[in-house]
Amino acid sequence: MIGAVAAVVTRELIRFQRQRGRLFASLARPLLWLIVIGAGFEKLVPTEGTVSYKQFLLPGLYGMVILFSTMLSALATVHDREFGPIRMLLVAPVPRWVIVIAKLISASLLGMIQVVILFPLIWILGLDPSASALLELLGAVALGAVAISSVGMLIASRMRSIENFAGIMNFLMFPMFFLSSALYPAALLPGFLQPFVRANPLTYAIDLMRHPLLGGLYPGNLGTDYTVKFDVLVLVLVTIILTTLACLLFGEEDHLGRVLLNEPPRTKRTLAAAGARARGWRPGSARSASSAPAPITEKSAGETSAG
Amino acid sequence: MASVPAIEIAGLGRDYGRLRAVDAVDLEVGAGTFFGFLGPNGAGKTTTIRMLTTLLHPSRGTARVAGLDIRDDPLGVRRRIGVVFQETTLDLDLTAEENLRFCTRLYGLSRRESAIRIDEALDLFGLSDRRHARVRSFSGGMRRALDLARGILHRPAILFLDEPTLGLDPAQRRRIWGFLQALCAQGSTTLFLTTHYLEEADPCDAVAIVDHGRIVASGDPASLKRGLGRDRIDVTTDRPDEVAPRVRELTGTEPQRAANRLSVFVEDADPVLPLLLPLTHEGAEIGVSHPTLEDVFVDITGRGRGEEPAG
Repeated sequence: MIGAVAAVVTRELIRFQRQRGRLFASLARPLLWLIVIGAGFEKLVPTEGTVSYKQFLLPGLYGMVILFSTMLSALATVHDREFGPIRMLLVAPVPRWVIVIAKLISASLLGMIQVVILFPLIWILGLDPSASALLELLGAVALGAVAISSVGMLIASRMRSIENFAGIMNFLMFPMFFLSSALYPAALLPGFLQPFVRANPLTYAIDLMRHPLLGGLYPGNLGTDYTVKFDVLVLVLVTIILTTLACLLFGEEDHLGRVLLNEPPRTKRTLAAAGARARGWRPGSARSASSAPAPITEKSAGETSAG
Repeated sequence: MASVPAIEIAGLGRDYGRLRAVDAVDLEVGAGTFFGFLGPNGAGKTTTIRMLTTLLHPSRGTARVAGLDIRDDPLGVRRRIGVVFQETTLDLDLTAEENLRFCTRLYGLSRRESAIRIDEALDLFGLSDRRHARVRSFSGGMRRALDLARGILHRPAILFLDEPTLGLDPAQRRRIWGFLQALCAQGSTTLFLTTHYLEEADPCDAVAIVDHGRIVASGDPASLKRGLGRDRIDVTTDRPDEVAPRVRELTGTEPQRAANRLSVFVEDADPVLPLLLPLTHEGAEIGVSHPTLEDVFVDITGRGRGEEPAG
């Protein structure tokens, strides 16, 4: 069991280290935000006291890194499950929930690594946290990464294919980012948005990161929304509940089997017929046509995912 | 004294909604057998293999794999089997060795044991010199070979292979079959493979031919083919509609038709050939060969490759 988790984590780390483009993209995005949005807002937002807007924004951007990297890792599970190495896990003597945990750990770990790579920004922006504050920050990053990963794993456990990946990006990840305390204190958002902000685990993850970085400094209008205790409580609960759900759903073997069979294929009949023709067998009947495995589906979906 | 069969299937079936993918399969595969599960695409082969490898719940019936019930003890079954899927399961960004190490870890092999097995497997499949190369750089045949290596790393009692030669060129297909036969010759592994290239399955110890989710024939390839007759006579003509009744008249058997080829199966071609010779004056070509597993399939189902079922 530990062997399986170690195997998955090792694999993800090797891949991460080889995919320079992915690392570059995930680091460039927050830097861009910091330079463009941070600089612009700093002019607009009059800050009271000692916290500059950029300093306030930094934990928000760490939250962004966590959000994008853990969600993408978690959702990559869907792709893996359809085509890739996760099938080795599915036929190995490893209970299904272990796969979820292993994926959760590797997604969180990769998210943490990327945030830590951006830690120098703390000093570049003129903050000087104590060693214990840094440790607290690291703990906050870890807890936030695990909580957001569990959101990703829950979605991944129910997704059948990566077709609606763009939809997930637009309708989940960006709203999650904007409707959090990343860019402004949650309390400043209008009332009708408050329920979304409060239901968003990212709000608490970012808030928790703000405490050690800005905690003592902030006397003005930019600051933390909740207490450390409350943030930790919410994140722990979110992690436990969502991970348990993901384990249960992912463990449903039948669902998995259907995912593996890619049912229902998008244009079942034509693809099956095309696939069968390519291999020399034309479907013998309507029935065989619709149940024929469709390697074409695999190929086209594989191309989609490569983008 | 017979040992426990590797696979015992009783009334196994699976529906997808109203679609009956596998109707009811009964089958027994002895330990150490090289078994071929044959049939056209969509016959239910992959669904059956997915049920046997615990990836899909059966809708009815059950099966025992390596003596364990697939419903009651899926984990135990998975511990004793290896599976090679139609599509590769390899991680293209990892090297051959890293892929295999990923796998040995899953089965809890020690570091030492894992190193030995990986060396062995790479050696057996002729990939030793590519062990540090990323799988992305591998050809289709090499990927399949590595997939096979992955499937046997943990020395499974039963190795399931779903269309192991799909999408490979003939030379690569022969290579893969060479590996499988070598593996089988070692004697400790039961091989259960599906293929829709019926003619490939000749080296199997036993085969079952499946169509529309049911087994329509089973036995060893030689005797299945023998059931049709020893010789096959092909009459190739550009006017099959006219020639078919005459072939029936001359030989006394109904010819199988495949495009412009008419085939009759007889015990001995020698006395029959002279009867058919007049047809050559009308431009027909006559050839003699032996029946194939595909002929068996056509004979049983009454339709050729890709033809609609009669009626």
